[in-house]
Amino acid sequence: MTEKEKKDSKKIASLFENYSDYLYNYAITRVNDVHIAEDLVQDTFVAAIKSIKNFESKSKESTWLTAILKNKIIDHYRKKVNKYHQESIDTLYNTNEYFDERGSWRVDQRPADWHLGSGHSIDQKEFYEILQKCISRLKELQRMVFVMKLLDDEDTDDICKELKITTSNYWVIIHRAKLQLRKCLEVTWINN
Amino acid sequence: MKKGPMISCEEATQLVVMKNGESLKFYDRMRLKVHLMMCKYCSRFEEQNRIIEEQIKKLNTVSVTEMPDDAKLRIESKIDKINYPK
Repeated sequence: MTEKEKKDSKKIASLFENYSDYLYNYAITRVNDVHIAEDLVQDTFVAAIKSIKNFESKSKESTWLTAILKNKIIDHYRKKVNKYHQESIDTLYNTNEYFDERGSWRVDQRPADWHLGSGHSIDQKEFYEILQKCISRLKELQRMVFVMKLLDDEDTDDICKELKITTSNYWVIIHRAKLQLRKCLEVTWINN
Repeated sequence: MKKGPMISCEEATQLVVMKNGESLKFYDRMRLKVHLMMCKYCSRFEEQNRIIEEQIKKLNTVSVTEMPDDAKLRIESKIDKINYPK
């Protein structure tokens, strides 16, 4: 091993120690599968080793690693998207669970008062654990749309292009996902 | 969506969700406003939707799930074997 190689390998080891949990958490929020999340983090470090030369010029380690991981996640999404058929999208539209024939809230689905007065803080780890769990219960395409829009703040047109859906499909999917997430939070967190 | 001034809860919640991402047409904005004034459930939905959108961004910084130790060991042994570029 040359001096340069030793230095690089030490660098990677320290990056792994410092950021593996962060990257894993980032991945698991977006893919909801422990094996895939592990693979994505591994691929990220493999790619980091191969491009470690580029790193010297970059300012922030976490930004650099997150950018690599983000690309790996998008690649993963692309592979998934190609498997979707129109009929699987159709089931994501259905809001009958929440509204009756006239479009009014079903009695057992009506949003409850969360009693979060002003000044009430929800910065608790427990809340975020539940939020992550509720996101993981979304259907795959819902989760992809949701994550790209609300966590990554991607442009709506880009999301539609990437996931091969129309703009109106997009809004219906977000609507359905929001209804489900709201209900999940209410049942598991607010009522606790 | 139908054309009358009154909209259903289903339509109102759809407009709430679209409100931040897309600029709603003036007419839809008015219809939503009227509906929210009359419907406490949809008003709650709107408020809770806002909370969810605010909190969800924090998932990027709050560490909720740590990587299991066995996964760390697997990855470490894998990256040990990779040759560094010259």
